[in-house]
Amino acid sequence: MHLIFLLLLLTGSVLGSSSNSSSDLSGMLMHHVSDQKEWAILPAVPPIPIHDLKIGSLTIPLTMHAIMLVIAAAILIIVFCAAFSGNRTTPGKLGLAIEPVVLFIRDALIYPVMGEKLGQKWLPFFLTLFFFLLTSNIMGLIPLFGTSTGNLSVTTALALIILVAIVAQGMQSNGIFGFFKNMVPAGLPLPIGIFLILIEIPGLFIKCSVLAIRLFANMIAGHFVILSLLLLIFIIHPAASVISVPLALFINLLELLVAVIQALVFTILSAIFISMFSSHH
Amino acid sequence: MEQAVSGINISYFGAVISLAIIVAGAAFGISTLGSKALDSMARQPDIKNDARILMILGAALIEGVAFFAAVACLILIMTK
Repeated sequence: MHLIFLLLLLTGSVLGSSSNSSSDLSGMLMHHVSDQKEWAILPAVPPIPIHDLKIGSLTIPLTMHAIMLVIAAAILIIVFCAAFSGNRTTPGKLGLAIEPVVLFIRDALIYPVMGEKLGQKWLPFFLTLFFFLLTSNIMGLIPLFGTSTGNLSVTTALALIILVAIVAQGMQSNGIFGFFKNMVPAGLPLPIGIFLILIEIPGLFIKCSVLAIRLFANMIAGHFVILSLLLLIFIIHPAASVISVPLALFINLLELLVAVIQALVFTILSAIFISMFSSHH
Repeated sequence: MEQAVSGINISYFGAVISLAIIVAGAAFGISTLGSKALDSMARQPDIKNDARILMILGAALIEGVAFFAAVACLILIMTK
């Protein structure tokens, strides 16, 4: 009983926190999903405006998602420094909680895909990537914060990092021309080889952009469905909250699963791409 | 011929029908993947851990294609 009342209060506060009282419902939905220049914390408190960062003559425009990135990084630094700090021979409680996840990523995702040598070199990068994505995805489900990976710019930036990593590791393993020669099987006549390389290069760009779009669309779709279900309360009748709020609860739980799975899939696909383009014949 | 009903854009119809077909295709693919994975796990229980990760990976890849199409249809609906 308390749970139902709490849920109704939370949903009312989430939907009432828009400062511009527009009766435009799709505008309200886009306002809750897209990036804003102000950070709405509590329903009754006016939202905090976010100013641009001025360093000398340069201006870095900051929005809510940019601040969420900094908060996710701060959470990661604090948690991991507290868990694995000092000269420990046995892990502490926080270390015992994080260690199975780290070992799972190392033994089940990275080492079988990339091998021992390459895996040891790239392991810190993939651990950082996985925990950053996990933190950012789960932060979107907490009412105070926003989803920074629900912004196409953030996921495109991550995919660009993976693209640079693929090309750099490929050119380091095989040489600059060997990177392109590695894309086609050996022993082909030259025209067919050039044709295949011309097809594989856009394939590389498409793989990285599909990484970005997959993560973005999964995060946005969850929020869209929850907000659409809750906006049904405004469209139809306030009594529809009896149906909408439990459905929104279940979709929130599904979104938690999707958040973890999408972080895993991004990491494992990046590892597969890096090892695919840098393997020796 | 005059338009009897004003304000209904026929491009909504095309976007929603295509979205339904694409999502149905993705659901069909993921269900086939899940059933084959469970069959193989029942046949050889030693593979359980590897097959579980591969199943989730395959489902996420197929879902990525479906979400790509969903985002494209959503853009079509929102901007028309």
